[in-house]
Amino acid sequence: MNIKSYILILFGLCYQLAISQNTQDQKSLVLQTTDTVFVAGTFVSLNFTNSENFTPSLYLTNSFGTTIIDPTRVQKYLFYTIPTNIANKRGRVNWSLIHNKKVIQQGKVDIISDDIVSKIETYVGPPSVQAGGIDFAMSVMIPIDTLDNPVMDNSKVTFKKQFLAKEDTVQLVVKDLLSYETIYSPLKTGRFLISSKCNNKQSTEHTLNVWASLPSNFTITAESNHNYADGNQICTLKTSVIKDAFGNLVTDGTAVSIIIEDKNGDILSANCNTINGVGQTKFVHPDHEQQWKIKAFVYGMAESTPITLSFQQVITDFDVVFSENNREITVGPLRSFMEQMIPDGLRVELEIGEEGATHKYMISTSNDGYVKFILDPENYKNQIYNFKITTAEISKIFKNKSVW
Amino acid sequence: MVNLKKLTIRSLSILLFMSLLGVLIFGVSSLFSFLNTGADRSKMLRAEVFQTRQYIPNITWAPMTNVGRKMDEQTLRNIEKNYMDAWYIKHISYHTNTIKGIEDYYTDSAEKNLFEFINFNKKENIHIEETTLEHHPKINFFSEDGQLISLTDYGVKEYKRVYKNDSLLIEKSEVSDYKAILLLEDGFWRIRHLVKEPTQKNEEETIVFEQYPNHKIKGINYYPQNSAWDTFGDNFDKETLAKDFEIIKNANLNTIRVFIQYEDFGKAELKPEKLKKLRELLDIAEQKDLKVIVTLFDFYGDYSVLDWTLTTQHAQTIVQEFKEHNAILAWDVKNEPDLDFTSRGKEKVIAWLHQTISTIKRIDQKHAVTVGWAKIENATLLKDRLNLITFHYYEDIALFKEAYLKLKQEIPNKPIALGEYGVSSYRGIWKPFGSSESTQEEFHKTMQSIFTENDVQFLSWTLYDYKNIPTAVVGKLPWRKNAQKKFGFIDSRGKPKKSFKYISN
Repeated sequence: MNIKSYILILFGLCYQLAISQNTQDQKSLVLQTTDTVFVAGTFVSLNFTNSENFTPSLYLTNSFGTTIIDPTRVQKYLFYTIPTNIANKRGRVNWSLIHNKKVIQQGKVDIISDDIVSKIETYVGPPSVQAGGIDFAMSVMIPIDTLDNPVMDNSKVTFKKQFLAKEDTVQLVVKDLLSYETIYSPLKTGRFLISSKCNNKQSTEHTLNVWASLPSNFTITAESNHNYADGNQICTLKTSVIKDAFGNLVTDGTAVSIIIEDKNGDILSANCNTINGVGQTKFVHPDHEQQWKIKAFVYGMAESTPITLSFQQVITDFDVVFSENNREITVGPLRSFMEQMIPDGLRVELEIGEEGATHKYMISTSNDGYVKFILDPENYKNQIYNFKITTAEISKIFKNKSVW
Repeated sequence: MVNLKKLTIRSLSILLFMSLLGVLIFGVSSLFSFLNTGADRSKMLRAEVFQTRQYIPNITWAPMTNVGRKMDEQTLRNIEKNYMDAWYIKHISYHTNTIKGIEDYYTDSAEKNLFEFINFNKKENIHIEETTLEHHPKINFFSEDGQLISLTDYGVKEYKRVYKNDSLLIEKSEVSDYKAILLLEDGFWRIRHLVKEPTQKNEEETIVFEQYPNHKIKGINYYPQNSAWDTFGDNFDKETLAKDFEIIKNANLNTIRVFIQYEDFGKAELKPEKLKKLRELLDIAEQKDLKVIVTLFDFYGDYSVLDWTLTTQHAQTIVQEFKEHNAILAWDVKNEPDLDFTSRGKEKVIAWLHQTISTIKRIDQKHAVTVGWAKIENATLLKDRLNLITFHYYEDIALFKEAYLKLKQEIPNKPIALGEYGVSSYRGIWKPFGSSESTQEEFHKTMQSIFTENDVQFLSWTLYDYKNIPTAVVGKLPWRKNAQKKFGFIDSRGKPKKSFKYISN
């Protein structure tokens, strides 16, 4: 026999030995612990008897991680005490005895959560719903034990909700780590109070607000001392109490836009927010005869029926006096509906026309029923001008006035 | 005469002065321009975030049949990203036993569980290299306000390597199911509860071997002459390939071996233009009736467990794309991985190969899988997972026959091929006593006679002499580089060398 065959035989023998050692390793270790299910937080130990003299390590892996522990050995017994970071957490624990980088035995234990619930994690969302029975919120309840483990599936959760005079109780079960209940909105606004119970533990109180649904159509009214177009009196526009389809007041601050179309087709607008369902805004009367068509909107949701307001002309005629070389033009007296002087602020416009040049304008407002225009010599040299004076939609024309 | 001397001295000193001045001006101006180079305005705000994905396990969502709110694609994508990052951060934490980043992906209550584990392992000096390769999550529940989900992650394929006092205790592959609750907190989906469940899946994987085709390899390792180690680079040209494959075919060869470089092909996110070039090469090979051994992972050398998801993506994308191609003969997982045994650790390399073979086999049972071992003595490694054994031989050819027959004896039931062999014909200033074209001819003649005699399948190194060789291949040393250029059967001018007669049998 040559040397090569010896080596081969030796190699073969070693291999055979290694195999038998491995199976022997397996046989010599016997698991003594019979329990495979433990409650989280209890002392968990895997005990083996080992007739051989080697000490394998125990590989452990659970929900959160992996580690390796060594046993304490008392004679032929090996005690593997499972560390708390594994014994305290719910879930499957796979273990393997390892020796010389080989798994020689493996198994599993299950850690289950404790029946004593320490807290019911509750997530209610969204925090408010719209009345009317279509909108809904959801309450998710995750009962956890004292070691922060979610309780086992099929644990019972009692769900309670209170709204106005009504109280409801629903029995739920935990599935996929949680239990949940859908809460549909009632027809009235108000506030749900929500609580739940699992085993020994009662949850804290949670709330869910029910706000009004979308506003429905409404009316609009106008209030004014008189209907003269004096450019001074204030007119108040007010909506009716805006409610949703179920008679709930819309929430304060609902934006209302008021649009006014006058007889020329020009648009005026104002915005307001509701308080106790009513939105209101104010307008100054026009300074000449006018008709307003008024409508209010809660954009995208509701609108009012339109109303019409008419204003009577108050100024029918006025005087114009030229003085100081025709450089001082006095308009007035401007009189209101009871012949009283018109309140300050009426707009008067003077148009100054000149041959071969663009027209110039001067605008002023009335003071004690009069308006005074002064043509200063810096801007207006001595020559012939045409004047046109307009107020409250009435115009007076003075042609070929010489200014010196 | 005096005058001439004087003139020379004068002109020399002027020249010296001028050049000194030039150097001075250059120096001052470079300093000046350096000091004037401020921050790039476009980068001031750090508006651009380049994020490369570091962890891409295969994730397959079950159809959405969840209770509660309807799941939309965008939310699902966010959940997937955060949930995978939570796993990734956990892997990193158990590797380094640090807690950085955990708070981003686990809620305050949940992160304590990880901290306890990390503290325990740190105290015991245990660290774990781990990764997950597959997830099959199913959304069970999505709360109506979109803030909470419950999911079950089925068949999570985990791989772990546990070290104590820096020595490996065990490596394990596991398949587990997890149940989890995630909460949406300030824009992140964070894990609140995680519970490992009893799994239904079988932990044992079976590798299916289909019948190895009746194909006796007479082949050659191939790079185009103008793009050595860069077949799919800028010089890629279909006509060149067609011409070269014609030469190979006419030389009575039937197989080529080509190389796919890991980074060049785009790592985990493969570049479509590279795949297109590979397809064109395979198409031309098929036209010319040549079979192709595709070597994956060339120039890859990391092997770390956390890199596995990326290499898996790389392998499965390529294999999936070409598994139906008629030109493919085999997938060569990696060229000469045994050379990394010393630098990376044999266990790491073998574990990576083991995993990558599974990946390829899972997708493509039809084609053979091999590893191009550098040393014949390593060719028995992983033999049960391969259906073609290949090794490279650059040792003494007098010992080849014996080594080959020994290997054949050790693996009697699988086809064996010599994946690389050859000799350089370089003799020059860096290697004055190197071999010549005649010795190369002699070498191939001898090899071919051994092949014929023992019915050896072979792939020689290589078709061409190359003009340029990338430094990454053999390093910078000119005697190595120059020798590496001259392994071809055809010289750099395109003329067959003497050895060309013995390219095949």
